[in-house]
Amino acid sequence: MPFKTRWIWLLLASYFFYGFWKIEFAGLMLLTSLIDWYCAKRVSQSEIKKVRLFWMWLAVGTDLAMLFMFKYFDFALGNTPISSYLYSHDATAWIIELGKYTIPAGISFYTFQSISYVVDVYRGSEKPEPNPIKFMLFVSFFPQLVAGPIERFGLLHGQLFKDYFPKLEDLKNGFRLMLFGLFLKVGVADNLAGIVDVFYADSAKFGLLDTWLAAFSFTFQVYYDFFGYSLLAQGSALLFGINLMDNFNKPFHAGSIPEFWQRWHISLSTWFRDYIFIPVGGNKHGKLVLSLAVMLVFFTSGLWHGANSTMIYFGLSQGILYLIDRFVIGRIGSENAVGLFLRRVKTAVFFMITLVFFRSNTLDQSFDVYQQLFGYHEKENVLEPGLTSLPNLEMPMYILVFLGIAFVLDHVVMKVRVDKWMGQQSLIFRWVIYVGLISAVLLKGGAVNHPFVYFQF
Amino acid sequence: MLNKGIIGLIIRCAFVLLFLVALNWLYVKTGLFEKDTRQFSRVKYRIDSAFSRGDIIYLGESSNTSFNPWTDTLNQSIGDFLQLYLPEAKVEQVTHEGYHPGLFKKMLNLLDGGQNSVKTIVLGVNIRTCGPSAMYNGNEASNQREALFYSRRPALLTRAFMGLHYYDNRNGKEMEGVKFKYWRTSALNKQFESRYPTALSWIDGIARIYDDSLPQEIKDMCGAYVKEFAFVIDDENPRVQDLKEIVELCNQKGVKLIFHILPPNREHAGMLFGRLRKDGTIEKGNELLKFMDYNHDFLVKKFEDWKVDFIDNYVLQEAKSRRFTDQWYPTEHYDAVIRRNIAESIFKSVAFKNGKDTSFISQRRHDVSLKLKRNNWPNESIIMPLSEPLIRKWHQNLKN
Repeated sequence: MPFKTRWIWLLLASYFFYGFWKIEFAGLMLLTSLIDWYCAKRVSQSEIKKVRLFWMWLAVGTDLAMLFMFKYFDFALGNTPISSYLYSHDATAWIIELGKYTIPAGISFYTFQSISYVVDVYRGSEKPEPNPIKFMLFVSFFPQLVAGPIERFGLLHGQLFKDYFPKLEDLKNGFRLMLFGLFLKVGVADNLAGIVDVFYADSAKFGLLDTWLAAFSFTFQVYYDFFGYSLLAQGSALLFGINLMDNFNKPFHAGSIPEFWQRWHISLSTWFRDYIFIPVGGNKHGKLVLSLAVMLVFFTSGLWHGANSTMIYFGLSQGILYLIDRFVIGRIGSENAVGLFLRRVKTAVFFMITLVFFRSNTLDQSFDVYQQLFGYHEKENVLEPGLTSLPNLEMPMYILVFLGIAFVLDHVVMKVRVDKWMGQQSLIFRWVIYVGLISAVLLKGGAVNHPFVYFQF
Repeated sequence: MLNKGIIGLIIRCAFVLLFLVALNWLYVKTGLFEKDTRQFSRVKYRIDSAFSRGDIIYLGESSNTSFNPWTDTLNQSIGDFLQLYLPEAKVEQVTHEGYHPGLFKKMLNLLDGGQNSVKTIVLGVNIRTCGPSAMYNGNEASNQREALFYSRRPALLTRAFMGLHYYDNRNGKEMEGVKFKYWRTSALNKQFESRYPTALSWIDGIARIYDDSLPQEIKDMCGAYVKEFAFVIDDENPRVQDLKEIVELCNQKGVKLIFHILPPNREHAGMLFGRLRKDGTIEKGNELLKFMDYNHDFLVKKFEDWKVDFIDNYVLQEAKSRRFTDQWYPTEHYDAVIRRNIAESIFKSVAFKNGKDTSFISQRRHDVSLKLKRNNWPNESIIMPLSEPLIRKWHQNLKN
C-alpha cells in the first residue's frame, strides 16, 4: 500500500475494529479526538497563558467528564433516584445502560493518550497536528487502542506518517511477539484464570493453602494476561513497521515497590509520573509532599483501574507499600545476591497480597480473603478438609509447566525482548520453540472465556 | 534473491501445515480430544450415543427432568416415560438446562442422513425460549462453548476455537445489558393494545400499583412473569429462525421431526394479573395471558405453514399450577403427572403417525386384553407353567 494512503487505511481499519463492537462507542472516540484536537489547536494559537490554560482544561475536563460518565457514573450514583429518573427516560436511559453493563473498551487508555497530547502541546513539548483526521489515527490506532500501551504523541505520531515500508525482519519479529503474547495469554493466563475463578466464586470455603495458591495464580494471571496483550499489540503494530513502547520490563526483578512500578505497566506509570506526580510537587519538596503526591497518584491509579471501592483500596495499599518500601524497608538488607533475591521475593509478595483487592468481587470478600491468607479464617463447613490436607484447588501439571517456561524465559533467559531473542537462536531451536508455543496455544488454551483483564479499564 | 525468499516462505508454510495435520492426528489418536470432549462437552457423548442407537430422540431442556427428586412421586423424565410407552422402539434423550433451538440445530448437524439409527426427533418447544430472558441468558456462553464440539470440523480446530473463545462468549453482564435494553425498548403494542408500552414500564407499574399489603414475593413473581412472558414473537425472532432451520435440516436428512409445545404455568399467569372476587376466589386476568396465547398461536401458525408435525400441549388439562415444581418463578419444571401426560401425548402422536392403533393405551391400563403386534407373539417353544391359559386368551383375542 502506498505510504501516502496507508494512514487512511489504518484509520478506517481502526474505526471499523472499534465500531464493529458498538458503533456508538466509535462515535464517542471520534468526539474525544475532535474536541482534543480543536482545544490543542487553540492552545497553540494563543500566547496568553490564561487562554492557553482555559483551552487545555476544557479538553482535559471534557475528557474526564466523558470518562466519568461512562465509567464512574453508575458507581457514583448507584441506585439513587437520579439514576432511576435517567433510566426511566428513553433519551437518557442508554447512558445508564452503557455505564451499568458495558464500558467502552479502552476508554481509559485512549482518553489518557489524548490528554497527554493536549498537555504536551500546552507545555510546548509537542507541536499540534494540523490535520484532525490524522490526529484521529493517533488516538485510535487499533493495536494499542483497547489496552495500551498508552503512547505519547511524539513517539507514535511520527511513526504513523513516516515513509517506511516494513521490512521482512519487522514481519518476523511481529509474528514472534504475537506468538509469544498469545502463549502467555491463552496458554498461561487463561489457564490460571480457571483456578482463580473457582476460588473467588466462593472463597469462604477454601483454606489457607488454597488461598495462597489463588493469590499466587492471580498474580501471574494478571501479569501474563496484560503482558501477553502488550506483546500482541506490539507485534501487530510491528507488522505495519511501527514500534510501540515496552509496557513491562521483568517486574519480578524489582527489589522494591518503587522499582516495581518502573517495570510494570510502564506506559501508565510514566503517564502518572509526568502528568500528576511531577506537577503536584514530585520529590523536590520534601518527604511530606512526596508522600502526598505518591498517595494521590496511587489513589488515581486505583480509580483508573476500576470504578469500585476494591480498586481504590488496591491503589491506596500500593501507595502505602510504596512509601514503606521507600522510607523504611528499602534501606535494610545487603547488596549481595541473597539480599537481592530476598528483596525481590518481598516485593513480589507485597504485590501479590495487594492484588487481593484487585480481584475480589466485593470489599467484604477481600477482607475475608486477607483473613484466610493469614490463617484467621473460621471455616464455614468444619467437615471440609482441614488446612493440612492438600489444596482443594487443583493446578494441573501442564499449567505449572507453562508458567515455569514463561517465567524462566521472561525473567532469566531473555536478556533482550522476545522477538530479538528468538531471532538470535539457531533455525532448529527457533522452530522447536515455535512448534512448542503453537501446540500449547492450540491444545491447552484455557477453556473458560476470559477477556483481557485490562479491556475493562 | 526474491525467488529464494519465496521458496523459503513456501517451505515454512508447508511445514506449518504438515505440523498442524500431524498435531490434529496426534490429538485424536492419543485420546486427548476424547478427554477434552468428556471434560468440556458432556452432552456430546449423550448425542453420539443417542444418535447411534436411538430410534426416537427426545431433545429438550430442563423441563424433561424431575426437578425435585425428593418430593416427586416418580423421577422418570419425559423421555423415560416415553420409552415405557414405546418399548418396541429405542427412545433416547438429550437434554440440558438452558438449551434452545439454536443449540439443537447445531446438534442435528451431526445427524448423518441414513447412516445412524434415528428415525424421529421430538423437540420440546418452550415458548419462553423465544423471549429475552432465555435468549440473553447469562449461561449462554458456556452452552455455546459446549456446542463447539457438536461439529465435524477437525478436532484441533475445535480445541483451538475453545482456547481462543471463538463463539458467542458474551458474559453475564453483557447479556444482562442486552436483556434490559430489550425490556426497555421492545414494544408490547405490536399486535394488540397493552396498558404498558414495554416490559420495563410494566414492571415499574407493578411496583407502583400494588400497595404494601401485597407480599414482596408476589410482586417479585409478577415481575418475573412479565420478564419471562411479556414479549411478542415475530418472524425475526432468532429462535423462530432456528426452528425453521431445524425443519429444513430434518427434511434434508430424511428424519421425521415432531415439535412439542410445552405447557407454561397459565394458571399462575392468570391469577397474578387477575382480581379477587368477593367470595375470595380469583378471577383470572388475561393481561399477560394474551401475550402467551398470541405467542403460542404464532408458533402453531408457523408449524402449520412449515408443514411440520407438532403436539400442542400448551393447554394441558393436567398442568395445574400446583404441579409446577417452581411455585414462585415461571419455569416449565413439572411433576411426574405432567411429565407422564406429556410423554403419553408424544406417544400417541408417534404411534398415530406410524399408522398404529393408539386406542390400546387406555385399554392397557384397565384391561389385560392387549392387542398384540406380530413381534410380540409369545414364543410357544418356551414352556412356562401357568402361562398357558393366558396365552390361549391372547390368541383368542388376536383371532377376534
